[in-house]
Amino acid sequence: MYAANPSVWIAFCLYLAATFYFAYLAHRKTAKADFIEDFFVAGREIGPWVLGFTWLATMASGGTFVGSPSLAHHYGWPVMLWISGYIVVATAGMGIMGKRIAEIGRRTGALTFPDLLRDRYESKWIGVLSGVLVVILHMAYMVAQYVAGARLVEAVLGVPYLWGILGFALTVAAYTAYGGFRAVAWTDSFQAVVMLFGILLTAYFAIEKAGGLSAVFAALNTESPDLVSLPGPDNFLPLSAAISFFFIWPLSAAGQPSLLTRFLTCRDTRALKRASFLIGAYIFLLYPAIITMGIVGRVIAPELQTADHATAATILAAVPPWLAGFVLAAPMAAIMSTLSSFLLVSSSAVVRDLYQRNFNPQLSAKGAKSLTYVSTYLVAAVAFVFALKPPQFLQYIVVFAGTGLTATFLFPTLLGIYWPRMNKAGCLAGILGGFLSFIVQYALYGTQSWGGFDPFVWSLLISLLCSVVSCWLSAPPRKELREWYFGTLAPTAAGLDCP
Amino acid sequence: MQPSYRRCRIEAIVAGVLWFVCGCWVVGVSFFLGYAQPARSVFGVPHWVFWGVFVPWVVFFLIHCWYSLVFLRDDSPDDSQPPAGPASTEAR
Repeated sequence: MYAANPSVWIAFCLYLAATFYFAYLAHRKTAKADFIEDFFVAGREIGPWVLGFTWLATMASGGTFVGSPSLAHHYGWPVMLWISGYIVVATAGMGIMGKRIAEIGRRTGALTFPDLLRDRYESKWIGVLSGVLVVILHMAYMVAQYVAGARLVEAVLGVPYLWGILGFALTVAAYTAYGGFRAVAWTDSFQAVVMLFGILLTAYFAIEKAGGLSAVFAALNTESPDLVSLPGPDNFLPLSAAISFFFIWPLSAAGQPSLLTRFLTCRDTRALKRASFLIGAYIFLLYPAIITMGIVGRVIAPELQTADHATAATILAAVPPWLAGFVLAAPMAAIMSTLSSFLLVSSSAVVRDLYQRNFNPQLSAKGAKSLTYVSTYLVAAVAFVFALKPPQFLQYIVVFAGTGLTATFLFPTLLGIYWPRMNKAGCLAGILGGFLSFIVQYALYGTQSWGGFDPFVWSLLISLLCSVVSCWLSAPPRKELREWYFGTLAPTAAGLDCP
Repeated sequence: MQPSYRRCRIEAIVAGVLWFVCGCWVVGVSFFLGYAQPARSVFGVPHWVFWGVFVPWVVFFLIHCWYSLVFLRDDSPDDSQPPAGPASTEAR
């Protein structure tokens, strides 16, 4: 523990109270509407601000606020190149996937990410497979969030690790199950604002305490020139890894089901455009500040009990005590907002994609509500069990889960929305090829696969190859389906089942 | 071909090109300045970070503003039609 004071407890409690208040408001609105559509996509009424903030809060996870500063604390300035792919995350995420998926979502009425794939490829098994993989890979991501949250409260408040993860699991599952997507989106918006101001304030106070960036540069250069030069200490970022990561972050944002689901909720393209601008501006302010905070933390708070305590230690060392509680809510907000989104996307995969669409299409609102509550708590409980034995660097789980999701789903989704010839066989081959090759490479080579590249790079190429080859070796989708997704025919004229 | 689909395709290609150009700048400049020579300080940050990460970040943020607010086109009237199609009937 790094000498917290009572104001930290008070700020934490106020922050939690505000979060539950937003969940309560969302629940009141959800209860009056069509449960399934309102719970999972907020009735497709989300405007630009909430869309932008919920996308950001989902993307910026515990890894961003706890894991990345810890890497920066350990490896110095090379981490700034490691994170630099975020420069184009907003452009790639919105321009390549966002607008087209939002448009297809409005046209088809898809409520979840597996819905999108299942309907595009007219395959129940693609819906089931993608639902199962969404749950498995998001579980790994959720474990990372629990670990981040528990380490934060352990460092700041002295709460034992086990009680910390239990508290996170229960708190987030409660407000997610209670308020659904609207609660997640509203609390995300509140949390995104807390996150941004918290990090900007910390970076400012940390730089001031260290005597300016020039003093930090001199201190690090004296300690070890590797901290200010590439590839960094212990060959942290060889050129192959720098290239890999520049593509990993935007691809990871573009292909992640929990982020793609956000596009299904937006009102229209105008909302998406403004959200895109907001996301770009937010990333521009947040990410350089967060890495700088970690680097400066090495100078003002050099001793850490464990590697992932860098954020908490820097905040407590730099920020005035009366403000520390508020600022410490920022990483807490990042963790909770991402966790709630993953819980929602996992529970929606269980309820909607695995149960309702396969076994009980006429599921009542009451039944859906009960099942959603049960599945949300169940998913949270399983992730809690996996979080009991954490690794040294949290960020490695985040990278594993994020890249695994993208390697599995990016090309089956991307080709499905842009290539009329793409079919069911191509999608299945792409999902399985990407997922299995990713797991095998991690098991055999760890984080540096053939040629020193991250396993993700090869898995993505294998997924693309499997998709295209299998697609060409099998029959194209039926003409009516292609007309519906890419042509000008109305659904009824295309012979599809429409109301 | 749907006009909205055609437009989305153009927008996606432009986003991809921007991404590629940005990657060449960031990784290329950082490689030549950061891997091959000792770091110098520019405004308190290593010179390879300044020219290879911070400057392109500012430039591509401005381009992103143009891309989001000007280049991405608004809905066509059929783009925002209510849900109908393969998924919707079974869903509710």
